[in-house]
Amino acid sequence: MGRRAPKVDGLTEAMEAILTAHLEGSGASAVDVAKRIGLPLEEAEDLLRKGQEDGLILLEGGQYKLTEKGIEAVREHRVRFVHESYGHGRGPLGYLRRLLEGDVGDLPFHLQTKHEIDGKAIEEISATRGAIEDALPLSELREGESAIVLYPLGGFGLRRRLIEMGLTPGVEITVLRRAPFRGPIEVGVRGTSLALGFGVASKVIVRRLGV
Amino acid sequence: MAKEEATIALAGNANVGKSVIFNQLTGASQTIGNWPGKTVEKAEGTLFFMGRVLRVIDLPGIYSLSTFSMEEIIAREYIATGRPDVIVNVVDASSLERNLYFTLQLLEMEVPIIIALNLVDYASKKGIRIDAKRLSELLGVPVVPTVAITGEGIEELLRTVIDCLDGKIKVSRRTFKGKEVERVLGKLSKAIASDLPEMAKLYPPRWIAIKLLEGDEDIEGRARSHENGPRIMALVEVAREELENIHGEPSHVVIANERYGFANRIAKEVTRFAPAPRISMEDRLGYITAHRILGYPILLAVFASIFWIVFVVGGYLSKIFDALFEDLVIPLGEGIMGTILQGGIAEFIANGVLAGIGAGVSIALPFIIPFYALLAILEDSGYLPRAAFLMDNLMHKMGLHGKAFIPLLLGFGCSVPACLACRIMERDRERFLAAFVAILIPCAARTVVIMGLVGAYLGLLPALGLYAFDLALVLLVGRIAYKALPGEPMGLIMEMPPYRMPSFRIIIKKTWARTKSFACIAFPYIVGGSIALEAFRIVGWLDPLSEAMVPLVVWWLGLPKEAGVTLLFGILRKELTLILLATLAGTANYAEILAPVQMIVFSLVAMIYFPCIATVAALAKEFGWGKALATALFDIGLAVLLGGLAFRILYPLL
Repeated sequence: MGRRAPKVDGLTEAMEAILTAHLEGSGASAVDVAKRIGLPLEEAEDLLRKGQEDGLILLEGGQYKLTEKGIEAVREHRVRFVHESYGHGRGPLGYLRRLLEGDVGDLPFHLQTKHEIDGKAIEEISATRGAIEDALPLSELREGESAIVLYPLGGFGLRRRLIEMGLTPGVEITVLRRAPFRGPIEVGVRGTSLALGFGVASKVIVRRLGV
Repeated sequence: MAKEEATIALAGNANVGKSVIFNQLTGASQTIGNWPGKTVEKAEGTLFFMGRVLRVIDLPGIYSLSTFSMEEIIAREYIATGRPDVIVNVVDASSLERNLYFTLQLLEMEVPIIIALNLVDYASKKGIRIDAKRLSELLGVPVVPTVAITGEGIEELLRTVIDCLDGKIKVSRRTFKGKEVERVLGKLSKAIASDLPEMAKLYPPRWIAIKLLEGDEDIEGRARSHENGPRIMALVEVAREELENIHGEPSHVVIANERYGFANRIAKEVTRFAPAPRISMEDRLGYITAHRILGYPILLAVFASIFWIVFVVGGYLSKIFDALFEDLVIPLGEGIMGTILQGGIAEFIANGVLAGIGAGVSIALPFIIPFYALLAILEDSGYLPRAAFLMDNLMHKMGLHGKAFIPLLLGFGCSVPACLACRIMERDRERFLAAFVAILIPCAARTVVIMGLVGAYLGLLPALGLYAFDLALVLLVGRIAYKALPGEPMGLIMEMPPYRMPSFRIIIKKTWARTKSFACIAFPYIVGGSIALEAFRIVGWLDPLSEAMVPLVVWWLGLPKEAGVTLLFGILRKELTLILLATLAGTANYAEILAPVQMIVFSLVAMIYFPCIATVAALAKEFGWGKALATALFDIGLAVLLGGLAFRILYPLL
């Protein structure tokens, strides 16, 4: 069962798919896009046409690409998603906190000052392969589940430390054990096991495998 | 003819058996000290092999050569500027990929390396076989399989070291980066070699280039301060952008990825997996001891038994040491002094110096030695990380993470090693915070006071209540200090090593080395303080002092006048408060001296008021005198405040 954020419009999903194809260096024909987002070809083509009309997507030699405006739109969507999903915690409490906070204005600035998600992290978020909606913090994995690391968030020092300990983008990890009450999480990575505090684990964004 | 004396540095990740190899190499000759000006342990030793004198230096166990922790900075600086003749990189054969990440970083520094492929026995038990020859071919450095604990392969390792010293083995200049990265690095290092000649003399230009791409603050700062710095940094910016455009990831991630990519490929190529072994005893132990429910009772049982053993063995040793000291050393000392010196001075020395040493020998050491031995067993078996894992949550309440549990645990034995153990925390802020709360934990001496007074006269329950109050206080003070100290708390990132059988020899050596370093820190202060107080007594300052303390001791705390002087003496060792009280009052029946409420107040104050002089010395050593004295003053204030309040609250009740 793939977990999907409630309100993702099809166009954004298609744009995510084009971006991922571009990042992976593979083709993004209408068929590829349809396959990636799991829609019938006609529906995908409708979405792509709409994207072209809005100036977000352009077609070049049978391959779809994002325009500058399109890249910006995906980026904004991803940053917003990360903020809404991880910034204030998930679930009803996070929702309440976001409500109380009101309009944050400049989102990247807000992320940096409030949530330690700085420009570098946003760049990493923008460069993530796969739909952003499939991303979740490592701390939400259950015991025994495996995942691919997308990017570690947090300050530069923490991020570098995590990467040095082997949690590089793209590496596969398995949750070996979780301590009770938001305690640390033990993960298997690169043949060793690593204990991560709950706070640290919630800053490692992953994509769940084998569900 | 090669030079006669050579230096070997041992480098590698934590938990790979580096210190075991160090012990095998150096035997009893080792000395444990500090790196100059730093609170990071430096172990050194010498050995003789094939007519050579080899100086062996054990570098701190680290995962990378960046500037994340003091250990890493020290290891890096030593490798770059200390110029060891050979670096022995100890590698865990059962976890090759992670270990090779560090090896690749060493290779970047372009220094002579020999790999000690350790724990091959353990790896083969896990069904992992490493082709050492192939590994050596791929990396271009000698690889010697070892089983450090039995000494297997150590001689071969030394022979390889000698070959290396004789110049028979060349430094590997193999590079392990992708095409684009190498191209960028090539360009950058050429510019560095010509524009930053001073730095290029200290470090290889290619290494500087890598560090600049990684955004290493230390190297970047040094490059910037050079007159050509801005030009180089502009080039670095361009190079970073280039890499980020190609790989779609920040350059520090690109470089880490390349290293891990190579480590992964190399590890895959040299590793042969035997049929999957059955779940081992160690795995099962690992599962159950960190279990989300069962783990906690096991934790409790482990530590309860440790305290039980420490107090039984310690009490027994204490009696023996005390008797030896009282019956043998003191009369002997007095006798010798008496024949040489005048009576007054002889008595002064006997009371001052001998009593000071006696205090250390008969109270601190008996509890410290078994505690250190048990701690070494816990450490070498791999249980401590499990305990840290289980306690992480609670430690976070004080702005610390799970590893801080280890100094807190040590605090139950003695505050001095607890202060020293705070070095396992990564940053200064956490180090101090951990020490600040660890010294409030009731140590063995304070337990003697609580048990000897409240426990003996009022019963076990009030004594345990006092204990519980202290632990609650630790949590509370820790929480306040955490909120008061500026800075963000740091999360736990800790490797969980597999369980291993500890070696008896290593345990003994560790215990001995630590006891020695404890004695070096604590004894001079205990003896010095003892002499000072004895001098006070002879000059006749004690009575005026206790008069001066009347408002505080009698009016505020509600204690008898004598308590003031005994609390003063308690600075030397906490249990002296109790012993002296009996001496001054002329009776060992405390019920005649103190009312129940006074017993509680007295114990409470003795428990909190001042970390003993040895602890202050240890604090000063780790954090400087300013912080040490501030901490002491805070604790005195806290004790006086709580003691007075306790008196006022409990008096009507009891």
